[in-house]
Amino acid sequence: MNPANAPARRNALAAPLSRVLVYLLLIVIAIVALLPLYVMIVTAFKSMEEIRSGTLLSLPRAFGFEHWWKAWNSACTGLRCEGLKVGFVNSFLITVPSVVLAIAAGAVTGYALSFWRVRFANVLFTVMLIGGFFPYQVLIYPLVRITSTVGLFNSLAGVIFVHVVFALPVVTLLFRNYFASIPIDLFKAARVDGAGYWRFFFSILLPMSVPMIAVAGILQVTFIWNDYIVGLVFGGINYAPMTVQLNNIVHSTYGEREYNVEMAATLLTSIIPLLVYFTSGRWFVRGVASGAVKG
Amino acid sequence: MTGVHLRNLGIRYGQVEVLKGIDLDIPASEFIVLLGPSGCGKSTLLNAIAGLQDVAEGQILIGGHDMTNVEPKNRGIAMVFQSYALYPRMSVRGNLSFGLKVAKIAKPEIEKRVANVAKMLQIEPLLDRKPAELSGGQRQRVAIGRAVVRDAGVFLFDEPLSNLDAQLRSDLRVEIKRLHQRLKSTMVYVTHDQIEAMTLADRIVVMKDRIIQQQGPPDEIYNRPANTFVARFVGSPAMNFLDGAIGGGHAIIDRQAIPIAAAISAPLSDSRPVIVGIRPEDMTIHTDDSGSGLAVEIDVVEPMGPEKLVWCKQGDIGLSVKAPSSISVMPGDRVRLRLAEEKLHIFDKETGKRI
Repeated sequence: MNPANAPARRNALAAPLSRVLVYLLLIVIAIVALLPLYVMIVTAFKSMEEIRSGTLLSLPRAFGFEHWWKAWNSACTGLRCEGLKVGFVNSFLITVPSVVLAIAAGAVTGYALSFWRVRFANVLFTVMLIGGFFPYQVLIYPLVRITSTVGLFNSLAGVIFVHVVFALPVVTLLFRNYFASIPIDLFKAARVDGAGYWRFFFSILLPMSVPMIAVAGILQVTFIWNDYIVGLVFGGINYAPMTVQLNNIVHSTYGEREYNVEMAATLLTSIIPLLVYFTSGRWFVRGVASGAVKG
Repeated sequence: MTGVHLRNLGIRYGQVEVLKGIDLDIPASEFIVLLGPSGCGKSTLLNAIAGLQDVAEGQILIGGHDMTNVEPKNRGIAMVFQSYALYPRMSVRGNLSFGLKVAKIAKPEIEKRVANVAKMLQIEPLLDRKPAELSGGQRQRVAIGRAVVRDAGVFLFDEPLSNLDAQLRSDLRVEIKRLHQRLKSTMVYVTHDQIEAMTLADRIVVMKDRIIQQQGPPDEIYNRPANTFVARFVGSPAMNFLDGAIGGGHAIIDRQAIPIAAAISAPLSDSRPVIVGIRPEDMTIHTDDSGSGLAVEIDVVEPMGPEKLVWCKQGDIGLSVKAPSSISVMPGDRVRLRLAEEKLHIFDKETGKRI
């Protein structure tokens, strides 16, 4: 074989074949991953009669929206039959302030740890990271005692407080490392220009941190929206988030199980994280990459 | 006009002593260059003057006032950085006016000052652009503008040209010199580039290992270096050094007697071991065989346009000589070098200090 055109021929022949294999593999993985979602969606539109007939994978004969409405408006969670809408509102009331506060606290902490040579900064940071590695089930009981002592237990503020505490290590880590990649000269220039602690943070650092704020926001919105245990333990009856209500609907043990309502409820609950991922994937990738490049 | 005076300044990082006992007087309107290799402490010193570096002991006086523990913004200084350090999310206009806004200066006054500086530095067309949309040279121009607009008595430059390519570097060098002539502010300029130091400075302070080695006007640094370090660091190509000894008013190098001007040889005692320094332009190449001068072999010839740089070998020591471009020598030729006797620099062999 002529060695000069061997690579060219190999590319021309081998590339399509390996590409076909790659695509085949990806399609199979996608099917495996998406099949449960597909079943959920079609089941949510089927009538109970049709579900009982056992045609799990077939498309619904008629699209019924009444199960969705029931899941939203009148499904019973325990004794109350007001549907998921209560939980949706609760989840919103929990997620928005928790995310905002966690990002604010994490960004300021990361800023103090990176730009202002705070005494024992590395020790503080290490302790914080170790805190982040604990499985948080371990910390539930002490936190229950703490929140009940200060009167936050069974309240919206209590749930938000616990979420912020759990989010702080990872958000601080994100911001501290992002800030560490910013040249120190920028900080010096601003000091000479007269900017103090907050001025530099708000006028210069924060506008540069939009990608990192987006990353932290996406992580925390999905994490807190999907949370079950913190909402269950600290929210009490009045502030049970959507996930807790979903569980109450799905795990009710009397009567016939309404699979279509349960599937609709599950989809409704996961709609916010899905929306976040679909609309902000671009930001997510950009933010994760931007930490690595000086800029 | 504002002078800067450092009194017995000491800086520590934790337990490590970085600078100690630094005394430096910078009269008002002087352009002073701190010159030295990286790690010599020159940037630390500049940061201390700016107030960006805590001082362990000693005093910093700016304009006659003790500024040792004063915030950077209140020291009456402006600073330009190697990395430009422009605020990336602000326009050029925003960058120029940021410090003035922080200082709560009235808006019309800010606009007037920004317009003046933009005109002076010819960055008017760039005012509404973001730093990312500017070239390196433009960015540094804006950074200089941001310093000028502060109307400070003292300018601090931290290797401002080191990130630029050669052409831009010499353009901006001239620009900075013009700025000094126009503003007549005190300027403290840190660099490791001896050409920048020679061309810009009223006075050069050469530092090494956190100690001031020598300070003086550029021609003094060049013509009377205080030790072998300064002699080697300033000048391009570097000064040549030969081991030798003193004998009868001559330097004995490689068993050849090289005459030394009487003014230089007067304090020298016989048979004292010394290092003889000579700059490339102070030697001449002779192809005739008259016998006087240092016998060397031509190694490499570099034509530079107006002159030729000839690298010679004397044993295993390399010597560089600046020769007129008309000279015709080839690698391998054996020639003799005559050293201008009044241009010899004699250093102590032990300490490296000028004798």
